[in-house]
This record gives sequence, structure tokens and C-alpha cells, in this order.
Amino acid sequence: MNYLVKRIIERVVLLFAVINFNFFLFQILPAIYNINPVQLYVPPTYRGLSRSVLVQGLEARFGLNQPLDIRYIKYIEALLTFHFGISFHYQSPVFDLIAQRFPVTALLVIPSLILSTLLAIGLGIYSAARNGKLGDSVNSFFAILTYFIPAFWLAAIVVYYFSFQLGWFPSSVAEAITHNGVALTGVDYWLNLMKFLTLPILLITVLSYGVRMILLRNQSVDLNNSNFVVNLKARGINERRILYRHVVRNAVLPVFTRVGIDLAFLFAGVVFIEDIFNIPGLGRLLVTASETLDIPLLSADFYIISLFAIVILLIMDLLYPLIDPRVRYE
Amino acid sequence: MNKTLRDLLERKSFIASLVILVFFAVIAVAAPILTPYSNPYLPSQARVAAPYAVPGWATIFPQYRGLAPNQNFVLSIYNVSGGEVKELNSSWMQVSVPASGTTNVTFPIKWGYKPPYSFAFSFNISPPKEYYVLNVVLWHGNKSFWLYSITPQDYAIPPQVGVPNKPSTVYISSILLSASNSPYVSTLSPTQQALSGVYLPTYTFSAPGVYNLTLSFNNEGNTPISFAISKPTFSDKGYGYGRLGTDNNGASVFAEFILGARFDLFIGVVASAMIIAIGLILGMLAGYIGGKLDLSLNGFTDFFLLLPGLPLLITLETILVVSGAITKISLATVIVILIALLSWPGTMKIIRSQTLSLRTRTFVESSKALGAGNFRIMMRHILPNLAGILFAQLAYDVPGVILAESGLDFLGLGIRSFPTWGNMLGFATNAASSANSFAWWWVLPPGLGIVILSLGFFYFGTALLDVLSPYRLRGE
Repeated sequence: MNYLVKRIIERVVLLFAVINFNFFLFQILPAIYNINPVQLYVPPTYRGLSRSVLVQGLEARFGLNQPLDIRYIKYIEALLTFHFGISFHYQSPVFDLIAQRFPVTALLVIPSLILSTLLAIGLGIYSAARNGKLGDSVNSFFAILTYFIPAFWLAAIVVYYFSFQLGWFPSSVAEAITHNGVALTGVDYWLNLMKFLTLPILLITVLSYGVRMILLRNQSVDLNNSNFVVNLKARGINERRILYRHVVRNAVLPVFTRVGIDLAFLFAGVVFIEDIFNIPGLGRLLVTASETLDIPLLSADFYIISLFAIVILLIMDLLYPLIDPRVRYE
Repeated sequence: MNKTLRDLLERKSFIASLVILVFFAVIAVAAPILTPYSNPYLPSQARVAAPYAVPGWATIFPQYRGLAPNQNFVLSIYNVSGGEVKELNSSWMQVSVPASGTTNVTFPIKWGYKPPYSFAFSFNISPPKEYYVLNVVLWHGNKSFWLYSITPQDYAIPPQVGVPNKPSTVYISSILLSASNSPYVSTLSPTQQALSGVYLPTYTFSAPGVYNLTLSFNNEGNTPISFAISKPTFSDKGYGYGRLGTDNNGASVFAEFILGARFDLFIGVVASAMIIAIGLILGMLAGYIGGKLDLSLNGFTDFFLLLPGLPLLITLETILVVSGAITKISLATVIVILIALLSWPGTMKIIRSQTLSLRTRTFVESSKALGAGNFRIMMRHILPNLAGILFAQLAYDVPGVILAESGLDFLGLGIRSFPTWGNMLGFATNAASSANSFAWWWVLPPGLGIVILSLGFFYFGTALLDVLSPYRLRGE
């Protein structure tokens, strides 16, 4: 148990460091460079009140006129209570914005994560079984190829052909969930929504399976040369049985770790897919926030991402002994 | 060294990656020779052909057959009626017009294509002192188009155009012709007059065939007059252009691709070198010194790994750009530095783990026993043994940098004024969604460029890692 406590403390310290870094990034850095983020939001030609009055009003509303130490306390308070305040850009509570978009991104990320893991395991075993042969080379080449395909490029091409040219999939969410201008409900709604999401999910699957597949393949190849496998071979046990019962079972472990890390970071990392398919998800929310220097939204979003990642990594720590019986937290 | 080289050259993947890298390096270095354009995004370098012109070679496919290429040639064959023409030299000729007479000089133009995007005629003229009218008529079969009408400057009444009484150039272009200077355009309907630049080429050069340009010299006086004119030049901008066609502004995609390759390769290598420098210093210190320093440096790296990369990059860029703190350096430099500052953690981890394993080797132990200082051991023993992995890592990091920069450009947050592969993709996909036209010659090259260049670097790095690492890092 000692180890686990140490792990938790480490992770919490890391989270605290991230929180402080975010405060530095969003509050202190603009102050150093003498930027008032609020000024970006006041139109240069606003009739009625003078510009400086508007800026002062906004500063008072968002608490940006207070000294940094008081802002820091309020900032920590906000993070602990999840009352993140109002977004500059969207003019609505930050928590609601994130809560609205979270399920959208989850609908994209979770199915594609499951599919790509299955694909990675299947193709990884295929490659491991055929190590060094042509099948393995071709398979590995395509897996490595997926590392380097720009998501926005492939997505744009796929959308053009399958949605615009062939018309197999709806080209926008609005088109997907309405029929003759009337919003769909119930089963139809979900069916059509999933039909729309098929393309992005498949794209994320294809673009993200490579890393895990190569991981599984390399682990299997390494294990194939290890002493215990040589021993099993010497005992005359069927190659197939060795592969499935001994090699793959061990090689899959780092793949699961990788899935955990991917789960933690994909939520903010599907920006390009969301951009091309025009899906209002977390990734686009975050990019919009960064472009507009929407400080309440940015600090909350960065915090949520780090918190999410740390929670997932902790869960992985807890689950690991269940998956791998050799690991015991003494 | 020879053995290493032989080892490398035995690998097919190394040869293939070398070919790719050399290809892109040559393109990048030879860019100023390969293309006359320095920045196709400048308005002055756009409109070299029609917008969305297909590549010249693509006209062999049925759907693009007959699209006009860009042409520019001198019309040297002619026939004369009603007067005399004497050749002064290979390009100038003298046209004598009898009193109260008309001389028609007709130049046939062989046109084998669909209508062009625009066309133009130009010639130099040295007019006589007397009054005259020169009509420029384009005709084909029984259809004729009275394009232009020239008189001495003092007598010009629209749609005539006055030309001074000294040698001057006449330039008649479908884009510049309008109701105020072209008799034919003034007969069109008002809507078509407003868009005469679009309608003229399709009406005049409507189909393949032989077209005739007639210069009709009218002498209104009682004495013979003579003109000196140069043989007219015909030029057109077509819907088939160059090696890779044009984009939505009619700028050369080939030039954009090559300049993009040059830029991406450059920032890729520069940023990777910076990543390697940061990763090497932190990784070697953490791995070799160990203890508290290792713990804190490792924690620092974990911390960087936990931050969402792209949003952080965008935020930092926004802050730096909005503040104006970076007016002295270009946006490209800022982006390269930011990418390097945010991408080193992975490299640091690898170098650290490698240093950790080197630290316990016997040669390090023995030189420690001989009393060598830490700095000397790091420089003389650790660093040379890391060389292989450093070169490999340099190659591995380039694709990441190129992808990050392209992504930023694609979102419209990077460099906008200069063609990079990311910009090309961003503009191409935006144009494809709005105009519903998919310019494959514009969308495919930058994406394929990114993928192929990245693969080249990856396999190059893998081969180096396999061969150069002294203790067989992989497998054992």
C-alpha cells in the first residue's frame, strides 16, 4: 500500500504544479506583457459608453481588477468547487459549456478507442505470428504510416468523397438529426447521429491504432526471444499455443497502459476531426478558447484535462495488479 | 566507418528513405531555380492561369480533355487585302494604305481547345501624322467580334481608343476590354457587359478551329499613309497549367509545394535540433547525475507531458502575438521556438534512459576509478555513445514538428502569408467545402508530401539507430 500512497501523492503534486503553471500562463504572463485580455472583447467602435468605461466594467465583472494574490486564492477556490465562472467568449457558465461538450467528445472518442484497440491487438498478433515475413512488413508499414497522416488532410478527403460525392453519410450534424427541417427524436435521432459519427469514429480508429499495434508487435517479438519462450519451445509446445497463451498475454499489458494514456489525452486531441466534421466537441471548445484568450474557459479546460489525465492514470495504477498478477503493491 | 556505411547501405529501408530525403532536399535547395515565384500568395504572383486550372499533363484524361494551356506566340503568318505590306525586319512591317482606302491584314490563329480563361493581343504601332482609324476584329466563320478601335489621340470618341503619334504599344486583353473601349462589348446586355472578362473568352474562342485577327487600317484622307507595326503577339491564360495546376487564386501550386517543402524541411530540422539540444542536456544530466536532480528533472518532464500540447501552443502564441512583445522576430521563428519548447519531453526521456544504461557500463566505471571528472566522463564517454541515438532522434522528431506546424497553419493560426504545406491544406480544404470543388492537384501534394517526408525521416532514423548504436539498443 505504501507504493500506492506514494504514487497518489506524486500525482497530486503534479496536478498542483499544473494548476500553478496554468495560473502563471493565464494570469501572470498577460500581466507581464501588459495585456488586458478584456480589451480584446471590447469592440473598437462601440457607440454609447466610452471604451475605458466598458473595459473597467468588464474587469470588475470578471474580477480582473483585483491584485494577483487575491485572484490566485479565488482561482484555487474555483478549481476546488468547480465554479469556474463565466466564459468571456461564450457568455455562459464555463462548467455548463464543458458539461455540454463532454458527451459529444465521449461519443467520438470511446467507440474509436475500443475499435482501434481491437484492431491493434488483432493486427499486432498477426504481425507477431508472421514476424519477419512479408505480411508482417506490410502490416507494420501501414501501422507506421498512420503515425504521419495528418488527420485534417485525410478527414477532408474522406468527407469530400463519402459525404459530398457519394452521399453515403450526412455531411453535417444538422443534416443528420433533422428530416425535412423537423428535428428527429428517439431511436431515429440516435441512429442518424451514429450514422453521422461513423466516419469520424472510423477515421480516429484508423489514425490511432498504429502506435498500439507496433507496441504489441515489438513486445511480442521481444518476448519471443526471451528465455521462458525458448524453454517452452524446447519442451515442444505448439508455437500457436505459446503465442496466444504466453506471448500475447504478456505483450498486451503495455498496450492497456497506452490505452489509458490515450483515453486521457484524446479528449483534447481530436481537434482536427471535430473541426473538419464540424462537431461541437471539447477539442474545438479549447481551440476557440485559446484563440480568443478566454481566460476562465482556458484555465478550467486545462485543469479538467489534467485532472482527467491524473485520475485515469491513477485508475490505471489501481487496475494494473488486477491485469498483471506479477505486480503487487507492497 | 566503412563497415557502418556498408551496414546501412545493405538495408532497403535505408536506401528508400535516403532517396526520399535527397529528393526533398534537392527540391528545397533548388526551389529558386525550379520556380520563378518567390511567394505565390502575393497578389502580384497570383493569376498566372485560371483559378483551379488542372495540371497541364492531366489534360490527357477524358474529363479534362481540350482544356487550354497557357500560350504566348507571335502571329507571323498573314494575308493582305486592299493595300501593301512590306516586311522591315523579322518582327516589324510597314503597312501602306491608299488614299480613302482600307487595308486589311489578317492573321490566322489555330485554336485547338475549349475557351480559355482570358486572352490578349499586343503589338507596337508607329502611326502616321494624319487621321486614321484602326479596327481590331476577331472573326471565325461568319461570326465577327469588333474588339477594339484605335484613332489618333486627339480624335478619340469612345469606344474608340486614342493612341499618341509616336511609337506605342497596344495591349488588348479580354480582362481589360469593356463597354467603354470595345465596340463588341458595348453590344452585349448590361449584365454581360459587367462580366465581359468572363463572357468574352467563351464567346470569341468558343470551339476549336481557325480564328482570324484582322487589323483593318482605314485611311480617311486624300493622301496615302503608312504605319509601322510589329507582328502581334497572341497570349492566353488557360485551364491547364504547369506541373500541378493552380489554386483558387490562380497561383502556381507547384511553386507553393516546393516553397512549402523548403520551409517545412527547414523548420523541421531547426526545431528538431533545438529539441535534441534541450533533451540532451536535461536527459544526460538526469541520467548521469541521478539522485535528487534526476527526480526533479524527471518530474519536470512528466509535468510537461501532462499539458495539452496544441492548446498550450495556441495560447502562448496568442499571448505573444497580441502583446506585441515579439514584433522584432517573425511569427515563423516564434512558432519554431514554441514547438521546440513544448516537444522535448519524449526525447529527454529516451536520452535519460539511455544514459542510465551507459552509466553502469564498465568503461564508465573504470574511467571514474581513474579519477576522471563527471564533466569529462559525460563529454568523452557518454556523449559519443549517445551519438547514434541522437541522430536517430533528430530524424524521429522532424515529422512531429512538421505535423505540429502544419496543424497550426491548417487551423489558420500559423503563418498565413507564405505557402507552407499546412497552409496549402487549410486553404484547399476551406475552398473545397465552400465551392464544393475538390482540387485534387492542390489537396493531395502537400498531404502526400508530409506523409512521405515523415516516413523518410522515420526509416532513416530507424536504420541509424539499428546500425550506429554500439550496444544494440534494440532487441537486447
